[in-house]
Amino acid sequence: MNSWNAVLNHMPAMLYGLRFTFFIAIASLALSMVFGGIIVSLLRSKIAVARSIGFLYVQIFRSLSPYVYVLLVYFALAGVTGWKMDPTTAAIISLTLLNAAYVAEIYRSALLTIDNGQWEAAAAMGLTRWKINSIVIWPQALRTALPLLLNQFIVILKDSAIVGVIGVKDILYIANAQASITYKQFEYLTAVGVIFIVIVFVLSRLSISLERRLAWKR
Amino acid sequence: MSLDFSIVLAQWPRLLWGLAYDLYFALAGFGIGCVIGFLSYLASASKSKIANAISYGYVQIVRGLPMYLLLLWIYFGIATKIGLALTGEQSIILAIGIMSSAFTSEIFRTGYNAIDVGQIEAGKALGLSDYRINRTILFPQVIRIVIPPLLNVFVICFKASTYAAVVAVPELIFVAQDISLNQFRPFEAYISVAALLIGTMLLLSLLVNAIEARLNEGKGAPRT
Repeated sequence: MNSWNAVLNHMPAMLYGLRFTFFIAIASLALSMVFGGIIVSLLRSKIAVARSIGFLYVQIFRSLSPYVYVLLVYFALAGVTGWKMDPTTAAIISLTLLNAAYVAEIYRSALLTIDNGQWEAAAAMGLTRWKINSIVIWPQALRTALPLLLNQFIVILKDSAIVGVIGVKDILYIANAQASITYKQFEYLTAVGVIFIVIVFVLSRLSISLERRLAWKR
Repeated sequence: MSLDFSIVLAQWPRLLWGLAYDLYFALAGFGIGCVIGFLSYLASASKSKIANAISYGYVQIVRGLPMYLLLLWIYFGIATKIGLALTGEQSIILAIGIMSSAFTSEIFRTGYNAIDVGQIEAGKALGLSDYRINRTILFPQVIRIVIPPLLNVFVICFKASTYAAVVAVPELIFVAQDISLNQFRPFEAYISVAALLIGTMLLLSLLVNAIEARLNEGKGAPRT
């Protein structure tokens, strides 16, 4: 039992690391929502070149694990541009690049649920393209997309566990460092695992109830 | 800074071996994931409440664990606690197996749920045994439904197999790290490896699409 006490004593430091985990995940989701919007407008554009750029982006960025992107951004991009970024910035950039592709697909499916008639009706009312998008189409699309975006947030939160490999002091990095000193890997990693399982369980319940609450009643 | 890919390309046998390792981990892990996932489905479909609860808890736990944490837990945690020291290869295969079993379990469940109960009742009415109903009526239909989503899980397994570099298996990312450290060429090393992985992924997804199209071919007219 003694070995578990050590983990409990170290818990405040680990929970402090959880702040980085959440910070990185929230920042990445927020940036992905912006970039995802840009990519989905490329995907839905009338210009064939723009569409193929959007398609290529989604294909390329969905096909590698976050581990590869973290290394690519932190070591390769920094090496070739000479930009000395700190690990947290590199983590946010790589998770944003990766998840913008998934968020774009979420937006695309949400926009597909909106009937074409609404475009025509809004255009018939004399609204400009910008007005149609900002007050008619996107509010509805975002409502449909919200539970899916929360699910994506769960994925980002789990993916962000990898940022320890470039030295971000997130919860797993702190636990792992202490575990290597004390040889109590089992206890420390199990504790981190339990914390992740609880967070993911709560968030996914939230996502399910959100989905039910926001469902369109016809 | 000038780019020089020849240093990286000179290492092509190691790069190909690295890719072979990744594919091997993905295949082996996927196989284990299908077996565990099927068992978990059987537990969730059984009449025993305890088996249902175990299956539900298992899926929730696995869904909550990041892949990286799971791998570290298997490789370091188990070794330090009970002294069962798995090699890096065994650890990554087990980790991929466990990670993918949460997906496959749900896939088998939706596959079996898609089949009308009336078919089982009809089979019983014809006097077929439970085994025969499963073997000749349910299984051939279920396998058709589950193959496309299972192939997607295989693609996820391939993505996850690059994590093996963390436990010092000489797969593709590990080779890239080695080249970037020894030849001081991080950009060329990582970009080449990323291109190799993306190329393989695109080929895999083309294959998945072809198999899906082939499966849909035999279906004939869509049922309404």
